[in-house]
Amino acid sequence: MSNAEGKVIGVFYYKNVFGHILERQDRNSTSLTTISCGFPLKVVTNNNPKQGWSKVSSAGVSGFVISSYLSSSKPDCIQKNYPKFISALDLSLSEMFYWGRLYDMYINGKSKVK
Amino acid sequence: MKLQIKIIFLVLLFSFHGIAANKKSKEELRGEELEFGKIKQVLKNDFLKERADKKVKELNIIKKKRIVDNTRLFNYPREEDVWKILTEIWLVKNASKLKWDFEKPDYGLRASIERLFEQFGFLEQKFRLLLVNSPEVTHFCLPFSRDEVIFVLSVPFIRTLDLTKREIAILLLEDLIRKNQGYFQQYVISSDLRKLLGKNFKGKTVNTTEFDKSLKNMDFFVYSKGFNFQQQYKVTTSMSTILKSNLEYWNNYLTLLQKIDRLVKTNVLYKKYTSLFPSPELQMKWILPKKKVL
Repeated sequence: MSNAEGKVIGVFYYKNVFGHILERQDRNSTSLTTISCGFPLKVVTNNNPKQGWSKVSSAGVSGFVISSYLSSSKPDCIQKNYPKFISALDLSLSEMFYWGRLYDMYINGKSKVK
Repeated sequence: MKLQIKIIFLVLLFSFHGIAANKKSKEELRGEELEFGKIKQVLKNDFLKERADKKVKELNIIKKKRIVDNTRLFNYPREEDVWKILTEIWLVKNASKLKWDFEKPDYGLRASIERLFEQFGFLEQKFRLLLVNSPEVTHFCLPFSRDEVIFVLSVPFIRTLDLTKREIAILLLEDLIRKNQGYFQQYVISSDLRKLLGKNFKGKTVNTTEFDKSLKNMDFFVYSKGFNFQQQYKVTTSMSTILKSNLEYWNNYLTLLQKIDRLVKTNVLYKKYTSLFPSPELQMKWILPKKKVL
Protein backbone atom coordinates (compact mmCIF):
# COMPACT_ATOMS: atom_id res chain seq x y z
CA MET A 1 0.00 0.00 0.00
CA SER A 2 1.39 3.42 -0.84
CA ASN A 3 0.22 6.96 -1.29
CA ALA A 4 1.68 10.03 -2.95
CA GLU A 5 3.81 10.74 0.16
CA GLY A 6 5.48 7.34 0.34
CA LYS A 7 4.95 3.70 1.17
CA VAL A 8 2.79 3.11 4.23
CA ILE A 9 4.74 1.25 6.92
CA GLY A 10 1.81 0.88 9.30
CA VAL A 11 -0.88 2.64 11.27
CA PHE A 12 0.23 3.98 14.65
CA TYR A 13 -1.60 5.91 17.35
CA TYR A 14 -0.58 9.18 18.96
CA LYS A 15 -0.14 8.60 22.71
CA ASN A 16 0.15 12.02 24.40
CA VAL A 17 -2.86 14.07 25.49
CA PHE A 18 -2.46 16.46 22.56
CA GLY A 19 0.23 16.88 19.94
CA HIS A 20 1.19 18.27 16.60
CA ILE A 21 2.12 17.06 13.17
CA LEU A 22 5.14 19.23 12.43
CA GLU A 23 6.34 20.59 9.13
CA ARG A 24 9.97 19.54 9.66
CA GLN A 25 11.90 17.02 11.77
CA ASP A 26 12.58 19.68 14.36
CA ARG A 27 10.91 20.33 17.73
CA ASN A 28 10.68 24.05 16.97
CA SER A 29 9.09 23.54 13.58
CA THR A 30 5.64 24.91 12.61
CA SER A 31 2.59 22.84 13.51
CA LEU A 32 0.56 21.67 10.53
CA THR A 33 -2.30 20.38 12.64
CA THR A 34 -3.15 19.54 16.25
CA ILE A 35 -3.95 15.92 17.10
CA SER A 36 -5.18 14.25 20.26
CA CYS A 37 -4.45 11.00 22.06
CA GLY A 38 -5.46 7.87 20.16
CA PHE A 39 -5.41 9.65 16.80
CA PRO A 40 -4.43 7.12 14.06
CA LEU A 41 -1.52 8.13 11.86
CA LYS A 42 -0.12 6.37 8.82
CA VAL A 43 3.65 6.11 9.20
CA VAL A 44 5.19 6.36 5.75
CA THR A 45 8.69 5.84 4.41
CA ASN A 46 10.97 8.80 4.98
CA ASN A 47 13.46 9.62 2.22
CA ASN A 48 15.40 11.89 4.57
CA PRO A 49 15.30 9.98 7.89
CA LYS A 50 16.38 11.63 11.15
CA GLN A 51 16.81 9.57 14.28
CA GLY A 52 13.84 9.78 16.62
CA TRP A 53 11.42 11.11 14.01
CA SER A 54 8.67 9.48 11.98
CA LYS A 55 7.07 10.74 8.81
CA VAL A 56 3.30 10.52 9.10
CA SER A 57 0.31 11.19 6.99
CA SER A 58 -3.30 11.66 7.97
CA ALA A 59 -6.36 13.25 6.39
CA GLY A 60 -4.35 14.92 3.66
CA VAL A 61 -1.73 16.30 6.06
CA SER A 62 1.80 14.98 5.81
CA GLY A 63 4.47 15.88 8.32
CA PHE A 64 6.62 14.65 11.20
CA VAL A 65 6.08 13.38 14.73
CA ILE A 66 8.58 12.31 17.43
CA SER A 67 8.70 8.50 17.09
CA SER A 68 8.53 7.80 20.84
CA TYR A 69 5.12 9.52 20.91
CA LEU A 70 3.63 6.83 18.66
CA SER A 71 2.22 3.50 19.73
CA SER A 72 1.41 0.45 17.63
CA SER A 73 -1.58 -0.35 19.84
CA LYS A 74 -4.38 1.90 21.05
CA PRO A 75 -2.92 3.94 23.93
CA ASP A 76 -4.38 4.54 27.37
CA CYS A 77 -5.60 8.13 27.05
CA ILE A 78 -6.49 10.53 29.85
CA GLN A 79 -9.30 11.96 27.69
CA LYS A 80 -10.73 8.48 27.23
CA ASN A 81 -10.41 7.59 30.93
CA TYR A 82 -11.96 10.81 32.25
CA PRO A 83 -13.88 12.29 29.29
CA LYS A 84 -16.58 14.11 31.24
CA PHE A 85 -14.11 15.59 33.73
CA ILE A 86 -11.72 16.79 31.00
CA SER A 87 -14.65 18.23 29.08
CA ALA A 88 -15.83 20.07 32.22
CA LEU A 89 -12.40 21.79 32.41
CA ASP A 90 -13.52 23.67 29.30
CA LEU A 91 -10.12 23.97 27.63
CA SER A 92 -9.83 26.60 24.92
CA LEU A 93 -8.38 25.80 21.48
CA SER A 94 -5.29 27.76 22.38
CA GLU A 95 -4.81 25.68 25.57
CA MET A 96 -5.15 22.46 23.56
CA PHE A 97 -2.58 23.81 21.11
CA TYR A 98 -0.14 24.64 23.90
CA TRP A 99 -0.74 21.31 25.64
CA GLY A 100 0.36 19.62 22.42
CA ARG A 101 3.30 22.00 22.04
CA LEU A 102 4.51 21.06 25.51
CA TYR A 103 5.52 17.57 24.31
CA ASP A 104 7.68 19.01 21.56
CA MET A 105 9.51 21.11 24.16
CA TYR A 106 10.24 18.35 26.68
CA ILE A 107 13.66 16.73 26.88
CA ASN A 108 12.76 13.18 27.94
CA GLY A 109 15.11 11.00 29.95
CA LYS A 110 15.29 7.97 32.20
CA SER A 111 17.98 6.71 34.53
CA LYS A 112 18.68 3.00 34.11
CA VAL A 113 19.82 0.10 36.22
CA LYS A 114 23.47 -0.51 35.34
CA MET B 1 -55.56 -72.29 -5.20
CA LYS B 2 -58.64 -70.31 -4.24
CA LEU B 3 -57.83 -70.95 -0.57
CA GLN B 4 -54.27 -69.61 -0.98
CA ILE B 5 -55.57 -66.35 -2.56
CA LYS B 6 -58.04 -65.90 0.36
CA ILE B 7 -55.25 -66.34 2.92
CA ILE B 8 -52.98 -63.78 1.16
CA PHE B 9 -55.88 -61.31 0.99
CA LEU B 10 -56.65 -61.70 4.71
CA VAL B 11 -52.97 -61.28 5.67
CA LEU B 12 -52.68 -58.06 3.60
CA LEU B 13 -55.95 -56.71 5.05
CA PHE B 14 -54.81 -57.25 8.63
CA SER B 15 -51.39 -55.78 8.00
CA PHE B 16 -52.87 -52.56 6.43
CA HIS B 17 -55.26 -52.30 9.35
CA GLY B 18 -52.33 -52.53 11.77
CA ILE B 19 -50.47 -49.78 10.00
CA ALA B 20 -53.54 -47.51 9.98
CA ALA B 21 -54.13 -48.10 13.70
CA ASN B 22 -50.50 -47.04 14.61
CA LYS B 23 -50.59 -43.81 12.52
CA LYS B 24 -51.07 -40.62 14.63
CA SER B 25 -53.74 -38.07 13.85
CA LYS B 26 -52.89 -34.62 12.54
CA GLU B 27 -53.95 -33.10 15.90
CA GLU B 28 -51.75 -35.53 17.76
CA LEU B 29 -48.81 -34.64 15.59
CA ARG B 30 -49.46 -30.90 15.99
CA GLY B 31 -49.70 -31.42 19.72
CA GLU B 32 -46.42 -33.19 19.69
CA GLU B 33 -44.90 -30.35 17.69
CA LEU B 34 -46.07 -27.85 20.34
CA GLU B 35 -44.95 -29.96 23.23
CA PHE B 36 -42.02 -27.87 24.55
CA GLY B 37 -40.56 -30.71 26.47
CA LYS B 38 -39.93 -32.52 23.25
CA ILE B 39 -38.47 -29.42 21.54
CA LYS B 40 -36.31 -28.89 24.55
CA GLN B 41 -35.11 -32.42 24.26
CA VAL B 42 -34.33 -31.93 20.57
CA LEU B 43 -32.52 -28.66 21.31
CA LYS B 44 -30.64 -30.35 24.08
CA ASN B 45 -29.69 -33.20 21.84
CA ASP B 46 -28.41 -30.71 19.23
CA PHE B 47 -26.53 -28.63 21.90
CA LEU B 48 -28.58 -25.63 20.80
CA LYS B 49 -29.77 -24.92 24.35
CA GLU B 50 -26.19 -24.60 25.59
CA ARG B 51 -25.45 -22.29 22.73
CA ALA B 52 -28.53 -20.16 23.50
CA ASP B 53 -27.62 -20.03 27.21
CA LYS B 54 -24.05 -19.02 26.35
CA LYS B 55 -25.36 -16.25 24.08
CA VAL B 56 -27.63 -14.93 26.86
CA LYS B 57 -24.69 -14.93 29.31
CA GLU B 58 -22.51 -13.09 26.78
CA LEU B 59 -25.22 -10.50 26.19
CA ASN B 60 -25.57 -10.00 29.95
CA ILE B 61 -21.80 -9.44 30.26
CA ILE B 62 -21.87 -6.94 27.37
CA LYS B 63 -24.84 -5.16 28.95
CA LYS B 64 -23.14 -4.99 32.36
CA LYS B 65 -19.89 -3.75 30.75
CA ARG B 66 -21.82 -1.07 28.86
CA ILE B 67 -23.43 0.14 32.09
CA VAL B 68 -20.08 0.12 33.92
CA ASP B 69 -18.34 1.91 30.98
CA ASN B 70 -21.07 4.48 30.85
CA THR B 71 -20.71 5.15 34.59
CA ARG B 72 -16.92 5.27 34.30
CA LEU B 73 -17.19 8.21 31.90
CA PHE B 74 -18.17 10.29 34.93
CA ASN B 75 -15.17 9.43 37.11
CA TYR B 76 -12.96 12.02 38.75
CA PRO B 77 -9.28 11.26 38.09
CA ARG B 78 -7.66 8.76 40.44
CA GLU B 79 -4.89 9.99 42.73
CA GLU B 80 -2.18 8.50 40.49
CA ASP B 81 -3.61 10.30 37.44
CA VAL B 82 -4.52 13.68 38.88
CA TRP B 83 -0.96 15.07 38.62
CA LYS B 84 -0.80 14.15 34.94
CA ILE B 85 -3.66 16.59 34.41
CA LEU B 86 -2.86 19.21 37.08
CA THR B 87 0.82 19.67 36.25
CA GLU B 88 0.42 19.90 32.50
CA ILE B 89 -2.62 22.18 32.65
CA TRP B 90 -0.67 24.41 35.04
CA LEU B 91 2.23 24.54 32.56
CA VAL B 92 -0.18 25.30 29.72
CA LYS B 93 -1.94 28.06 31.66
CA ASN B 94 1.44 29.54 32.60
CA ALA B 95 2.93 29.30 29.10
CA SER B 96 3.16 33.06 28.59
CA LYS B 97 4.60 33.68 32.06
CA LEU B 98 7.16 30.88 31.93
CA LYS B 99 7.97 31.31 28.23
CA TRP B 100 8.74 27.66 27.56
CA ASP B 101 7.79 27.77 23.88
CA PHE B 102 11.08 29.06 22.54
CA GLU B 103 13.90 27.83 20.37
CA LYS B 104 16.87 26.55 22.34
CA PRO B 105 20.00 24.61 21.60
CA ASP B 106 20.51 21.05 22.80
CA TYR B 107 22.65 21.57 25.88
CA GLY B 108 23.19 17.82 26.27
CA LEU B 109 21.64 17.91 29.73
CA ARG B 110 19.72 14.64 29.43
CA ALA B 111 22.82 12.45 29.61
CA SER B 112 24.30 14.42 32.54
CA ILE B 113 21.10 14.09 34.57
CA GLU B 114 20.73 10.39 33.79
CA ARG B 115 24.38 9.76 34.73
CA LEU B 116 24.08 11.57 38.07
CA PHE B 117 20.82 9.81 38.98
CA GLU B 118 22.35 6.45 38.13
CA GLN B 119 25.51 7.19 40.11
CA PHE B 120 23.57 7.99 43.29
CA GLY B 121 21.02 5.20 43.02
CA PHE B 122 18.02 7.09 41.65
CA LEU B 123 17.32 4.34 39.15
CA GLU B 124 14.48 3.89 36.69
CA GLN B 125 13.58 7.53 37.26
CA LYS B 126 11.80 8.98 34.25
CA PHE B 127 11.91 12.72 33.78
CA ARG B 128 10.87 15.45 31.41
CA LEU B 129 12.98 18.57 31.37
CA LEU B 130 11.27 21.80 30.35
CA LEU B 131 13.60 24.71 29.75
CA VAL B 132 11.99 28.09 30.27
CA ASN B 133 13.14 31.45 28.99
CA SER B 134 12.16 33.35 32.13
CA PRO B 135 13.58 33.91 35.62
CA GLU B 136 10.05 33.59 37.13
CA VAL B 137 10.69 29.95 38.06
CA THR B 138 14.40 29.23 38.46
CA HIS B 139 14.18 25.46 39.01
CA PHE B 140 11.39 23.21 40.22
CA CYS B 141 10.38 19.57 40.18
CA LEU B 142 6.69 19.00 39.49
CA PRO B 143 5.04 15.64 40.13
CA PHE B 144 3.68 13.81 37.08
CA SER B 145 3.19 10.12 37.73
CA ARG B 146 4.51 7.46 40.10
CA ASP B 147 7.78 7.06 38.20
CA GLU B 148 7.97 10.31 36.27
CA VAL B 149 8.56 13.96 37.11
CA ILE B 150 8.75 17.23 35.20
CA PHE B 151 11.71 19.51 35.85
CA VAL B 152 11.28 23.19 35.04
CA LEU B 153 14.62 24.92 34.58
CA SER B 154 15.27 28.56 33.76
CA VAL B 155 17.80 29.18 31.00
CA PRO B 156 18.48 32.80 32.14
CA PHE B 157 19.16 31.43 35.66
CA ILE B 158 21.68 28.77 34.55
CA ARG B 159 23.34 31.25 32.17
CA THR B 160 23.66 33.97 34.81
CA LEU B 161 25.18 31.48 37.23
CA ASP B 162 27.29 29.94 34.49
CA LEU B 163 26.44 26.47 35.77
CA THR B 164 28.18 23.38 34.49
CA LYS B 165 26.14 20.38 33.32
CA ARG B 166 27.06 18.56 36.51
CA GLU B 167 25.95 21.47 38.71
CA ILE B 168 22.65 21.59 36.80
CA ALA B 169 22.18 17.85 37.35
CA ILE B 170 22.91 18.32 41.10
CA LEU B 171 20.41 21.17 41.27
CA LEU B 172 17.74 18.96 39.68
CA LEU B 173 18.59 16.05 41.99
CA GLU B 174 17.94 18.39 44.92
CA ASP B 175 14.59 19.32 43.33
CA LEU B 176 13.76 15.63 42.97
CA ILE B 177 14.52 15.01 46.65
CA ARG B 178 12.31 17.98 47.56
CA LYS B 179 9.48 16.57 45.47
CA ASN B 180 9.93 13.11 46.98
CA GLN B 181 9.38 14.60 50.45
CA GLY B 182 5.82 15.42 49.29
CA TYR B 183 5.69 18.99 50.69
CA PHE B 184 4.42 20.44 47.43
CA GLN B 185 1.82 17.73 46.82
CA GLN B 186 0.44 18.04 50.36
CA TYR B 187 0.02 21.78 49.98
CA VAL B 188 -1.49 21.79 46.48
CA ILE B 189 -4.11 19.05 46.78
CA SER B 190 -6.71 20.14 49.30
CA SER B 191 -8.48 17.61 51.49
CA ASP B 192 -11.69 18.43 49.57
CA LEU B 193 -10.10 17.52 46.24
CA ARG B 194 -8.57 14.40 47.77
CA LYS B 195 -12.06 13.29 48.79
CA LEU B 196 -13.25 13.56 45.19
CA LEU B 197 -10.39 11.64 43.57
CA GLY B 198 -11.45 8.35 42.04
CA LYS B 199 -15.12 9.00 42.86
CA ASN B 200 -17.98 9.06 40.39
CA PHE B 201 -20.21 12.05 39.64
CA LYS B 202 -22.89 10.47 37.45
CA GLY B 203 -26.21 12.21 38.06
CA LYS B 204 -24.45 15.05 39.92
CA THR B 205 -22.85 18.29 38.81
CA VAL B 206 -19.12 17.89 38.22
CA ASN B 207 -17.07 19.81 40.76
CA THR B 208 -14.12 21.54 39.08
CA THR B 209 -13.85 24.22 41.75
CA GLU B 210 -11.48 22.12 43.88
CA PHE B 211 -9.34 21.43 40.82
CA ASP B 212 -9.16 25.16 40.03
CA LYS B 213 -8.25 25.85 43.66
CA SER B 214 -5.36 23.39 43.36
CA LEU B 215 -4.11 25.24 40.27
CA LYS B 216 -4.16 28.46 42.30
CA ASN B 217 -2.33 26.68 45.13
CA MET B 218 0.32 25.67 42.60
CA ASP B 219 0.68 29.30 41.50
CA PHE B 220 1.07 30.45 45.07
CA PHE B 221 3.53 27.73 46.04
CA VAL B 222 5.77 28.00 42.96
CA TYR B 223 5.82 31.81 42.64
CA SER B 224 5.49 33.03 46.24
CA LYS B 225 5.38 30.58 49.12
CA GLY B 226 8.05 28.01 48.39
CA PHE B 227 9.55 25.81 51.09
CA ASN B 228 10.09 26.65 54.74
CA PHE B 229 13.36 26.40 56.67
CA GLN B 230 12.49 23.09 58.25
CA GLN B 231 11.70 21.52 54.87
CA GLN B 232 14.81 23.01 53.26
CA TYR B 233 16.99 21.77 56.13
CA LYS B 234 15.79 18.22 55.56
CA VAL B 235 16.46 18.47 51.80
CA THR B 236 19.91 20.04 52.16
CA THR B 237 21.11 17.56 54.77
CA SER B 238 19.75 14.66 52.66
CA MET B 239 21.65 15.97 49.65
CA SER B 240 24.82 16.27 51.72
CA THR B 241 24.47 12.69 53.00
CA ILE B 242 23.85 11.31 49.49
CA LEU B 243 26.69 13.21 47.82
CA LYS B 244 29.24 12.50 50.57
CA SER B 245 29.88 9.10 49.00
CA ASN B 246 31.69 11.05 46.26
CA LEU B 247 33.47 14.11 47.60
CA GLU B 248 33.95 15.58 44.15
CA TYR B 249 30.18 15.82 43.77
CA TRP B 250 29.77 17.05 47.34
CA ASN B 251 32.20 19.90 46.54
CA ASN B 252 30.25 20.63 43.37
CA TYR B 253 27.13 20.97 45.52
CA LEU B 254 28.91 23.38 47.83
CA THR B 255 30.13 25.43 44.85
CA LEU B 256 26.58 25.51 43.52
CA LEU B 257 25.27 26.86 46.82
CA GLN B 258 28.04 29.49 46.87
CA LYS B 259 27.15 30.59 43.34
CA ILE B 260 23.45 30.87 44.19
CA ASP B 261 24.21 32.72 47.43
CA ARG B 262 26.28 35.26 45.53
CA LEU B 263 23.57 35.68 42.90
CA VAL B 264 20.68 36.27 45.30
CA LYS B 265 22.74 38.85 47.20
CA THR B 266 23.72 40.80 44.11
CA ASN B 267 21.00 40.39 41.47
CA VAL B 268 17.59 41.97 42.18
CA LEU B 269 15.97 39.76 39.56
CA TYR B 270 16.47 36.80 41.92
CA LYS B 271 15.58 38.63 45.12
CA LYS B 272 12.63 36.37 45.94
CA TYR B 273 14.73 33.20 45.50
CA THR B 274 15.51 32.97 49.22
CA SER B 275 11.83 33.03 50.16
CA LEU B 276 11.25 30.03 47.89
CA PHE B 277 14.39 28.07 48.82
CA PRO B 278 15.72 29.36 52.15
CA SER B 279 18.53 30.16 52.29
CA PRO B 280 21.74 29.33 50.39
CA GLU B 281 23.86 30.96 53.07
CA LEU B 282 22.26 28.86 55.81
CA GLN B 283 22.35 25.75 53.65
CA MET B 284 26.13 25.99 53.44
CA LYS B 285 26.32 26.31 57.23
CA TRP B 286 24.11 23.26 57.66
CA ILE B 287 26.40 21.03 55.65
CA LEU B 288 29.87 22.41 56.43
CA PRO B 289 31.68 20.75 59.33
CA LYS B 290 31.41 22.81 62.50
CA LYS B 291 34.57 24.60 63.57
CA LYS B 292 35.88 23.44 66.90
CA VAL B 293 36.62 26.22 69.37
CA LEU B 294 39.63 25.35 71.44
